[in-house]
Amino acid sequence: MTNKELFLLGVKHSIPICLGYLSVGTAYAVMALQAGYTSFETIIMSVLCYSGSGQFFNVTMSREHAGLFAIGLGILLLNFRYFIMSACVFVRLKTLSTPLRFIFAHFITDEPFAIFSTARQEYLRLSYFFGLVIFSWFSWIMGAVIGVVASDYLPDSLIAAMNVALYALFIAIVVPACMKNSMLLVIVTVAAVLNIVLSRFFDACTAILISIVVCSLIGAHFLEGHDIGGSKEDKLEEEALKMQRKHHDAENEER
Amino acid sequence: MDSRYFLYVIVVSFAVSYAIRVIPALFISKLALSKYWQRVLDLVPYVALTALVFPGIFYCVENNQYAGYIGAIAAIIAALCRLSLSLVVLVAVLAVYGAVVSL
Repeated sequence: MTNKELFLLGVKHSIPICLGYLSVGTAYAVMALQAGYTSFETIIMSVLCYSGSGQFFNVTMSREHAGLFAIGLGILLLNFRYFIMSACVFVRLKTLSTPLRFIFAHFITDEPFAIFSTARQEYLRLSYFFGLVIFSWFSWIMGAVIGVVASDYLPDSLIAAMNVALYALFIAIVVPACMKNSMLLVIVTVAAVLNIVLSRFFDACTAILISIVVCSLIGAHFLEGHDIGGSKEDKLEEEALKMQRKHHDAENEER
Repeated sequence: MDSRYFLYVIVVSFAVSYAIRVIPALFISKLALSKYWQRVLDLVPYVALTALVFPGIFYCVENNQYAGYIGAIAAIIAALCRLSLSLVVLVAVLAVYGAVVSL
């Protein structure tokens, strides 16, 4: 396949990601504006940070005027998975030059990683990765722009209701994983209770950081010996394989 | 409060997120994590998301905790029914909207 074809294929495979990013990006923007961010700051955070849970964490923490060190530490813990994902992606792009590595590292997120790291051998070129990530990133930014514009026109009660959107998204991510693994259910339940209790004594940011560190470090001991159905990467690969199969089916239908 | 506080927050979180993404891109070969730390890293996203949701979701609508409770219950039930991510979000938003309008 030529680079152009690979690029277009990547773009095609990114369409479901784009739809998700548009809607979540909008919900993020509504929430950031409510927390006191200006329109410019709201949009520029989507451009630079490009991380759903990270930006949600930022908004939650900065609403309480958390210290910059606490925010940096929280982002480090929360986004550390990108470290592994980035390694997985760039190990498949061995011949890439250093300047290009500096540029494309910014676009590592969960969904494009899941698709790229399990793609067929002949797709593993920069042009395919570029097609996969570029519109995903644009839709994330466009989501923020739509949120900023729409928040002037939507009724207040709907805006208030949209604050629940990202919380609901996170519930939708955690619950299915807990249904497969009862130990994970125990650990996140403890985390929820611990955080509810801690936030009565500390500010929200301190409580969240303590909960993350304590529950992850202790919980990892209990996960030991439990067959949790593979590591997160395995699960991601599983999902990505499903997505790939769908893509292949769609391609076959076209033929 | 410093009027540039939000900008500082953005700069700090950009610096950290970008460093996390770019370091392995440049030095992939030198990575080795023990199984325990691998498991910790697997857990962090789930624990972090849970801590972000509880108790924050209860206060997501100002001066109306019940709307928050309803949103949390609606989202959990929708997720238990294995609805897709966007449908869970839609159900929760509609439930909270209903609560805000009627309470």
